[in-house]
Amino acid sequence: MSQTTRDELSDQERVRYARHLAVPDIGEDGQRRLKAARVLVVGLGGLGSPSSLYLAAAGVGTLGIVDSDVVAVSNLQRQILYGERRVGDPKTEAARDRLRDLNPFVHIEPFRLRFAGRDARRIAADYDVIVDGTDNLETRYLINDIALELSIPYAYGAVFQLEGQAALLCVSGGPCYRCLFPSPPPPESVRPAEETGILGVVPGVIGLLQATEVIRWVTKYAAATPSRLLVYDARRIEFLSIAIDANPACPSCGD
Amino acid sequence: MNIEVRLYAGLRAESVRSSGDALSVPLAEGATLSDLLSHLGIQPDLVHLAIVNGRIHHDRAVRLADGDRVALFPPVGGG
Repeated sequence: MSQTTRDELSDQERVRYARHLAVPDIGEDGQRRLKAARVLVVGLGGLGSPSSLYLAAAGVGTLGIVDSDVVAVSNLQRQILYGERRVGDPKTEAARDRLRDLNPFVHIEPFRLRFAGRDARRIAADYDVIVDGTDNLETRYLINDIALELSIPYAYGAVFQLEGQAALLCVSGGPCYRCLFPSPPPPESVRPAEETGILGVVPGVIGLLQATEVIRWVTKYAAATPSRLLVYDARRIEFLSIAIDANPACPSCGD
Repeated sequence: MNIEVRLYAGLRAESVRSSGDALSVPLAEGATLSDLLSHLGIQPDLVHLAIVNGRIHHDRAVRLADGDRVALFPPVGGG
């Protein structure tokens, strides 16, 4: 790789990103912004697989990836970062190898740990935006708190069986996760995905919507449009797009 | 009056199996979002997000009107 300053594009990068450079709404400026961006993907499962793959392919300059798990056979139905040969390997290692192979111009920063407590805050402080690839509500509330503390956006996504949701939260003046979901539900009311199941393509769609939100944010389109919650129902092959505002009574970001 | 209701994610199993289609729910005039939940037999703390005519409503005492479209969501935790 030829040496360039942080957000300048090398000749090889110009070839790689030719289809982006040809899009007037992305172009040289958008691609340089992507290169300068530092994106943290928390959780490398059904959501984190497609979002990290496409963000790496798109040329996000630095991609932090967080997960404490190892690859299991039951992951492969939807977690397209991995293949049969990586079963049993730490997800961060398998993901790092796959993402580097996909785009060696992206700097991958793996963190093999559970995203919690002081570790979470320390890691997130080095990034511009957090992508939610988690599989539990506790971590979503934590990501929201950290995003608000650091004044960085939170690309929310979640899935259940044949349905999913995505939104860019914690953008200045916009809603946060608690504006939508003010308090955690009783723990016994939330069944784990191992029990409820997930149609593999659904996190694929939602993860790519999250990646799209990140690209919109980095290339400055997100600031121009109000926040929306997208709800995808694969049963009906239908999207619901709901305008969402900050809740003045929000316990986290309200007045 | 009749309210058009769509139940998402786990709520479907909590109430009528609506196979994703809208339910038409008859309610007394002046009924609230809270009344709708009890009519459907849905535990209030299972509903995280209530959308009425495309807008989020955190206040369960909001009065509904004939023809209102309501979408109800439980917490969605999967990834």
